[in-house]
Amino acid sequence: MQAKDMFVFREGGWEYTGGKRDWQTAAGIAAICQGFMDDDEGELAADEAVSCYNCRYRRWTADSFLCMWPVKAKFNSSKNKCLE
Amino acid sequence: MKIFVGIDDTDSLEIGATGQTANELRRIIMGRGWGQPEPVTRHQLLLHPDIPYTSHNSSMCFAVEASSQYLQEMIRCAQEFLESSSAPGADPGLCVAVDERIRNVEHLISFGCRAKREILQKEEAYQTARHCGLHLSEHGGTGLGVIGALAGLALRLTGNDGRFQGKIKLQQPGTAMSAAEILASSDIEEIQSIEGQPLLPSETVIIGEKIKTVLLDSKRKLLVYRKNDEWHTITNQHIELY
Repeated sequence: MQAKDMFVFREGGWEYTGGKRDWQTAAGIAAICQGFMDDDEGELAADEAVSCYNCRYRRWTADSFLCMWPVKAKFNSSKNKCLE
Repeated sequence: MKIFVGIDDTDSLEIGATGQTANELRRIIMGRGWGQPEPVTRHQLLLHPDIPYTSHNSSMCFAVEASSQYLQEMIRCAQEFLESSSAPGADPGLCVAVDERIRNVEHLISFGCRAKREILQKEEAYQTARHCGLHLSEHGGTGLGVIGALAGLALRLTGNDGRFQGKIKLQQPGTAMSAAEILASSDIEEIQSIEGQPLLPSETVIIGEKIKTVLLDSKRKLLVYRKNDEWHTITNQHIELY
């Protein structure tokens, strides 16, 4: 599975389909993402330093998070063009 | 007297962090000699698509024991600081309360608890602040941060919500320390398991990479979990629940 397959476009941005506890995949995606940026220390959610869950561009939702990386956000169509 | 300060929504997607802002404000208060602020706690509010939070919808609160003569100056200072330091596009809010002057505490706490499960409006935040005798003000943007600022302060008052910001240094990760040693060498007030079982002073804890503490029973508590028949300090993954 490729990183782009883990996101679907919803109103507001690209939502991660793995939920909030998909530690290994979220770390793997962040490791190859050019947009990863550390969030404030007090907001880190994963034990892996580099993880979508620790990225400044993730916006938490009730069940998962939206990727708000501006480069990805501009692909605001239902076509999965992100992380290609 | 004890003064509580709650702030929210001072950051934007790329600039700032409300936890850092709260800590900078603590340092200013300390630097002016107004008092020695307690550590900042972070309080998680509702995550809902209709709430325009930046990324976490968490708000920050700290308390400081200070003389009443500094109250108005402290409020003015915090207002100016939020206006000058908040990120462009932020909607900062400030809430200040004096412990002994708070009225209708149950109503205030109810507002804080509801902010964790309902969408609340700014008007209700102002009404609640007036009803309970708190200062509440907005300092840019839509000013919607007043909701979180008030809710965060209310949740801190419960003594049973949120996690402490900032790092606590114990021994190197992987080291074993007794509960008594941990308590003697840090600001941690109690150690208990995530299930609520208090540790005896002689019990041993394996120190993790980052030491996270939470506000429970109005105390700064270190939580531990059982793995391989040993106690370990909780990780980022456990702290999600607080």
